[in-house]
Amino acid sequence: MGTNPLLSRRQVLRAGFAGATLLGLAGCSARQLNSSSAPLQLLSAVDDDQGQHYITAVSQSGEQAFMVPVSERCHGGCPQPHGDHVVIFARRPGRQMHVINTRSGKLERSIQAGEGFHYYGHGVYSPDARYLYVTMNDYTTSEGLIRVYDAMNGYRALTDYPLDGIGPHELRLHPDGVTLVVALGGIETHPDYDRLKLNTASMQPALVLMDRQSGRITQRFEPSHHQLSCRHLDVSPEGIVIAGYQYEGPEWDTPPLIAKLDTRDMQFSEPELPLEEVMGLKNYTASIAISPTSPFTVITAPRGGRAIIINHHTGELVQRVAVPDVAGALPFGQHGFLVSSGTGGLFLLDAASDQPQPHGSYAVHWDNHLTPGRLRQA
Amino acid sequence: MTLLHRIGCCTLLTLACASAAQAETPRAAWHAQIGHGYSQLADATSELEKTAGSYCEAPSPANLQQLKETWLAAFSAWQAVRFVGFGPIEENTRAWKFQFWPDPKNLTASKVDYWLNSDKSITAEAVGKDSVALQGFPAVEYLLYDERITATDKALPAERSCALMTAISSNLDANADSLNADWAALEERYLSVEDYDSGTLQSAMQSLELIADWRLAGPIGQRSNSKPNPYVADAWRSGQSLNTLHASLKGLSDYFVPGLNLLLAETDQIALAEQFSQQLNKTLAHFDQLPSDIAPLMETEEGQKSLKALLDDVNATKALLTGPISGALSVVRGFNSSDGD
Repeated sequence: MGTNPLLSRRQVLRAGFAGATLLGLAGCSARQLNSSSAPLQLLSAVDDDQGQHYITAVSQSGEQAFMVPVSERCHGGCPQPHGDHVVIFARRPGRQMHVINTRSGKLERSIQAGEGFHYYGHGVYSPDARYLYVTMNDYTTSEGLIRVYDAMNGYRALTDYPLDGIGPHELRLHPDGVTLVVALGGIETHPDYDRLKLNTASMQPALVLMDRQSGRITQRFEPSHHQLSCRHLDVSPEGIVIAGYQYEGPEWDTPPLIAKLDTRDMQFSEPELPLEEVMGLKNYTASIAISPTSPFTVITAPRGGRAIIINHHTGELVQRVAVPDVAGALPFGQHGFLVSSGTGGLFLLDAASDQPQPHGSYAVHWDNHLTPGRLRQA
Repeated sequence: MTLLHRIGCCTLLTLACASAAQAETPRAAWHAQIGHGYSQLADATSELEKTAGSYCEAPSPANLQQLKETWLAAFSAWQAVRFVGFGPIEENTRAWKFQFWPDPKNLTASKVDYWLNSDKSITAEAVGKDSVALQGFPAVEYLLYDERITATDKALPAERSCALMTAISSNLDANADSLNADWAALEERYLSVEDYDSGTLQSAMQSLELIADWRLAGPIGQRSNSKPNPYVADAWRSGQSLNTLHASLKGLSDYFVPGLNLLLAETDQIALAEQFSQQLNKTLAHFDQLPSDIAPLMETEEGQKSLKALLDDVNATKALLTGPISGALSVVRGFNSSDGD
């Protein structure tokens, strides 16, 4: 693997495959290869019963691998392609990100946002693992931005790309390897005011596409209501983006809570769910996970105590599964999902069943998002 | 404490009538009583606005004293409904516009100072558009009590200080009026949506946790590994931090407990209801022996002991609600559902 950021996804996939073959020749079975190269099933921010904050991980065999104490409550994370790093970010308006070495299970370093900046809790690597793109707030101006870090050089900050908007949140890399897909929540925060939302009347949320090499914003789509805060998203291998909203307006409204952007023809839509389904989500979605090998996407709604599975090609509802305090989500297997609950359980969901299948129970409160131990390719 | 007790008694009498007449279901009781609390708040802020105006027109020591009492009555009316964390209070950060808290960086002072030192025209509209730290009761308290104001040439009735205090009071009154109206408008929905049972219970639990773990444990140094921090208390500037805690607990007793009793009665849990009322009343009784503020008690060992005893009873009240009662009523409190992002 070179460090050329221009590598196409196809090249990356080919490189990854070649690497696997090489190891395979060295005498490992596919199964062993899998477990040795991916010792961790997932990482997540958690709280314990005393309200102390940690980053934890679960091994492939379901054991809790480590608990790294952190001073600020953390949120999301991202795995380094082909590498040993997973970065977990402090929750808005936190000011640290933590690089975990997935082989040693140790905290390798913590990076500070720097005076005048805070993180939002999400980031993503370039396909060659060299660059890390992180959503941030310059809180002296409230200007949202993407900061580019050099992951091969001690996570040195390289440059900032302005987003022309407030409150960027989750971002993912488009399968073209070049486009960053950024959920712009529209909500202004400042560390002095903790988590207070400072501008709910004048929000301008959006879904933004940005060229990661130039920082140029290539497309911008707006939700149908200005108080629909666009927070979390995932992208399918064919370029369908599913984003989840959190509504900042009155609790009795029932606005749409899911956005779909098909980047093949740049059609932006808000798939309609049956009214009682929308009401059951309580105007709040937590995580989005797209299955790269099936047409299914899971959306978690902890306030509604349920996860829904939609077909992201058609936008139709496929399944509704009751899971108390469900939040984190990852694709699992060919067409299923792994979700976490704040009550301590992990569960497997399948599009064919309305029952969650227990997948381990832990003495932690799983926080908001799950991060895979390694990058998964379709 | 006399003034507060007086307010408390009126409230209780009015409520007894109100609840006998209309409340048949727990949510009907809650809607009526919280609505009563909101209308008390609107009346009290209206009084504050008037008193601020008349003081600034004809300043005198007696008028200033009256203004301080009116401020305390209005701030206490807010404390009484502070446990309500759902419905219209959730919109547009309304709660913070009544009380920006906690304020570790003393933004209240810097926002007020900024306005006093600038030559911008002061209106209630301008206040309503500025930082939440400028809009609430603590900003008025800062003008009335803080030495950074009272020991300087900005002390009331200085022109800009008076104008700002009047504008903040007027904005507070407008916010209380719209909150009151929006709560009334929620009635049909609140009564028909069953989830509000759980929402109301969780809201009361959070409020007791806030009282126990922060508003009381914070200033007396009973949070894990932390020194006493007097500035986490409400109303530390005016020396009313125990009065405000009392008002919040009294608010739970007046506006939350009757609905809770009905809900527990529906599920044959009257013993739990009695236990909770007794524990809450025992907690409230502490205040009869206590001064209006935490600070003087922290100076003596005996004083600290009495605060610790109060904390123990607040904790016991909290534990009853979050433990046995929450369990009996099957309230699920989520980690992600109550504080996500």
